[in-house]
Amino acid sequence: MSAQALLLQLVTGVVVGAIWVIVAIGLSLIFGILRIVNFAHGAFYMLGAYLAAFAVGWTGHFWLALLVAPLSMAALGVLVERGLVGRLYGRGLVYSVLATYAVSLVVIEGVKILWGTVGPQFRVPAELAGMVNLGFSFFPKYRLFVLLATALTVLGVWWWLYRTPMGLFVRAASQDPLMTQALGVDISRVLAGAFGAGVALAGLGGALAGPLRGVFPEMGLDILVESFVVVVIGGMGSLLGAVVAGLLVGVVQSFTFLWAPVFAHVVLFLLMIATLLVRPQGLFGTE
Amino acid sequence: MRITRREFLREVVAGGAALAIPGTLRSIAHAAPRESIRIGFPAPLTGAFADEANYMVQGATLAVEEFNRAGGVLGRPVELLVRDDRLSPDEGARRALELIERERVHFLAGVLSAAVQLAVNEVAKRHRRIFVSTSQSDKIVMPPDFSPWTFHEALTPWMTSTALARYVLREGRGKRVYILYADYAYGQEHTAAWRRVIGEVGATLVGVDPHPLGTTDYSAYLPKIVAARPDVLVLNNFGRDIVNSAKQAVELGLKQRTQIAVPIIPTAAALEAGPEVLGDVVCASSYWWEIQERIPKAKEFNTKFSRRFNRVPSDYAAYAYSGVRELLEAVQRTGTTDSDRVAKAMEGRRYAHYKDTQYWRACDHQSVQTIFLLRGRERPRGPYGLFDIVATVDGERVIPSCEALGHR
Amino acid sequence: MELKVSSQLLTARRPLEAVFFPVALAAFLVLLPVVLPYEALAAQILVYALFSLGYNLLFGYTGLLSFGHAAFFGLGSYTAGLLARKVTANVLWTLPAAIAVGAVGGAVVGFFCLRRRGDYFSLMTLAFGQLLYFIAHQWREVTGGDDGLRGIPVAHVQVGPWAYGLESSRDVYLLLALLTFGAFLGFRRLLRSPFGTALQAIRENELRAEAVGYNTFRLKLWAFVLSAAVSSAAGALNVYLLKFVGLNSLHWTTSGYAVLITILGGAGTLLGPLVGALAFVGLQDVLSAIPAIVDRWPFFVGLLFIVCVLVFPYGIWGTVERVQARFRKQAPALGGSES
Repeated sequence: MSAQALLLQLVTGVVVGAIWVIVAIGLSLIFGILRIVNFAHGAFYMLGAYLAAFAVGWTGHFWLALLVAPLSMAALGVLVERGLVGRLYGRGLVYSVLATYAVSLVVIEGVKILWGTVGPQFRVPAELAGMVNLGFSFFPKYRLFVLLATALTVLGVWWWLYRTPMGLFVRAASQDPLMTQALGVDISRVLAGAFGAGVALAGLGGALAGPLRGVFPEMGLDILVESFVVVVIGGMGSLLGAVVAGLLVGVVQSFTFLWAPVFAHVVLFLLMIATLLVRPQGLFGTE
Repeated sequence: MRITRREFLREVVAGGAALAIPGTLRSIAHAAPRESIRIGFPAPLTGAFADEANYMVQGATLAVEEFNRAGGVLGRPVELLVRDDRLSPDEGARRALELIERERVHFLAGVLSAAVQLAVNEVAKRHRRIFVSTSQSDKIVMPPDFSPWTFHEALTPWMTSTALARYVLREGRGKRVYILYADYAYGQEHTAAWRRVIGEVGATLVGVDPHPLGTTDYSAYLPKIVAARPDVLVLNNFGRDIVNSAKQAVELGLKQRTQIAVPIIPTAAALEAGPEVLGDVVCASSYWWEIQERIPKAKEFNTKFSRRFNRVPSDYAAYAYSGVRELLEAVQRTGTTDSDRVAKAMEGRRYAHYKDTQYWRACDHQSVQTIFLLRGRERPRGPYGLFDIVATVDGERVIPSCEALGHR
Repeated sequence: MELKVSSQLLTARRPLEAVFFPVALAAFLVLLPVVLPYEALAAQILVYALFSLGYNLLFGYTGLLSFGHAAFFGLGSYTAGLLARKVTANVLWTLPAAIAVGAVGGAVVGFFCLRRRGDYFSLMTLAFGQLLYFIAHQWREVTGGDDGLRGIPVAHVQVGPWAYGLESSRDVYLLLALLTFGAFLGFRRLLRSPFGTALQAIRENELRAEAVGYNTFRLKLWAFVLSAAVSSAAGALNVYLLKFVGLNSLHWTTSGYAVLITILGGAGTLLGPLVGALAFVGLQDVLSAIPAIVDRWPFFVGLLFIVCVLVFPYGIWGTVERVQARFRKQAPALGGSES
């Protein structure tokens, strides 16, 4: 196969990985700070896509939608954390898994009740439509935009975590919640904020993915399990891990499609199992 | 811990009461008269084909309402019991069981997904109920799936893709074909038909790739296809899968030197994809509303449907309408709901409910009908004027023989 | 990990209970198809009850949250289906075969997953489950892929010349009722055995159990194997009912059902799975009969589940037991929870 085709396959894999990166960062954040495996992450991804699609429908501005979706999801995340998840902290992993799983059911079915089983139209905005000549091939402009958006998001999250006071509290809370509280930080705010941020990222991922893959109620189910794979391989609670693992898994899967399509889906779970057996904390995890 | 007799009795009573609640509630909720003629209609109201399923339900409803307005069938009202099969064969089997055992339906009809219809057919067979399938499938008219009570109103992939492939490959755009198909019965069977025709006309198959049903992101498959530089790209998938794969293929510039062909483009998918994607794409169809210009029956059907549902009927709406009508007319003619007698009455019958004449072939109960070949218009004429009719194929010419299908 | 279950260890039982429990269970099993609108529904409930019974052993009594149990349900289904198609549809062959395959699967999966604890354990079970799903999806020649396994002959029970075909849902229900009866009684016996008490000790405090001298890894592995075997049996029985195996049997959402039903009914209680299955399937049935709701019943089940998790963490039966315990004169710590 020609070098151009290989390059194209690579770039394609990176773009697929980019969406996973955004969603996985959110999942990793929630796990790192709250120690919760958020089974509702896929449902929030879907909600983000819906909200963005509606926002574009009402205002006609894609850029506004990209802001509206994650912000509203953040608010929703805080509500869910205060109202449900936050009450279950003492009870251990099991209950948060179950609660978020139940939230997932409710959200997905709720969406179907409110807006039917067929999702809204979400077209690529005119400014981003069309193709760009990358030299080795033509490539859709929108997908490059997704790559850019991901890079900016990663930078944004990094800056928030490492350069703002809130981020400092979040990191401290993940390392030692008791001590952080003893030092005077309102831990409940931090936890709510972290969950909200994680959910916002899921929503952003959905908003970006919407024009690519279509918006429909079940769109979050596959990405939920896929983001688990990425977070496990990258390391729970690690920002760098989510980025590296997301892109890596995207590229690996892309090339598996090319060379051994039979294994294209299986390879994800083999990698996940292998990581859990050999190095459970993942590439960059701190557990 | 000791359980006293009193506590034990209390538990039994409480348990019994708990058990009784669902039963009582159910009998209250379910108020249908038992003398009605009931048709069970599973359809994928949830999932990737939900749009088209809605059309189907509407078509079936139209047929049932027509009969009821005329006084019912054999003087009895007709009931259509729609169930969501969630695009899953498991669920389809469970719904079929529920329809037969609880609702005691006389017949089954509908189903959109190839995988689900085979499961529903299994259940219908075992209970000796007629099932009029409106889903594309090769297997359902062949042993071992076929049964004396199985009827197939929809086209088969064999017929559809044979007609389409012959047209595309003889048209002259080129002979190098790449096939991307959804990895379940529908995609596999259309691909098999294409392979046969490719062999027939001496074309070349430069690549064949399966993808899981419901794939949303085709970016991983497309670079390989671009590199192979095919003359024809065949997308053997359905519903939202068509929209996504075609859209993404066009985004990568594949339409510039490649003819894209899709076996069936349901109306809902066509509307969602739009002319930028579907312009110049060829497909086949059992029905395109614009045939009303040449076939009066179509005009009649279009008018009835749009008056009732405020939109133009799709091909699957037409299948549902026609299939249910045929069933009810047979019941009317034989004067009974007995499966064997009704089935015998349907065999061989010629009919035309929404287009030109079709008939049920005796050996496999396949509805032999006309196939229309369509090409997407780059500039549509109005919101529904999406396709040009480029050819008409007589079903008789593309249907395999009874022997070829395994019937004696 | 703290898990709120009816965590009362069992003591020697009294003779009266030994009769009450089986009689009550038998009465329930006899009444179920009579009260419900159709037999297939009753049969479906028992299938789910058995599936959850297996799951409950691992989750409720050993404290291990598996999210991949659909793998064993599916293994049992495909084994029974394939055997019926290729060799024999005699239940006396297909059911043990399904159980055996499930047990082996459980041993293999458990061997790997048990190397990790907590979240990692759960995630690994999920990964194995999905792995099996995608393998079955690809291996179309054997499993039928997305189309599922069809053409499965009607199951029958055959001993020598005497055969009984399981044609109707009622026949299948008969078999299911017998097996459910046996399974629950057997389970009750198991829970009182040294093995059963050891498992519960592990659930309460694994370190202490180890300190006391239990080989916790071996015990957990046995629990896994047993749990998988029972779930596989449920899968086989599902095939006798539907005469069809769908790929969804292996999907993680099916695993989710086992979790839901077990929690709803009451994890760590003997009858929890049965009550949970009745509630889950019954609720689904009742809700879908209401015209406004129809196919949106999972919404309400989800809501109920949230309520359950917040307010009734012990599930329906678990809460019933606790309420009973409060009205007992004896101290709960000495009591047993075998009802």
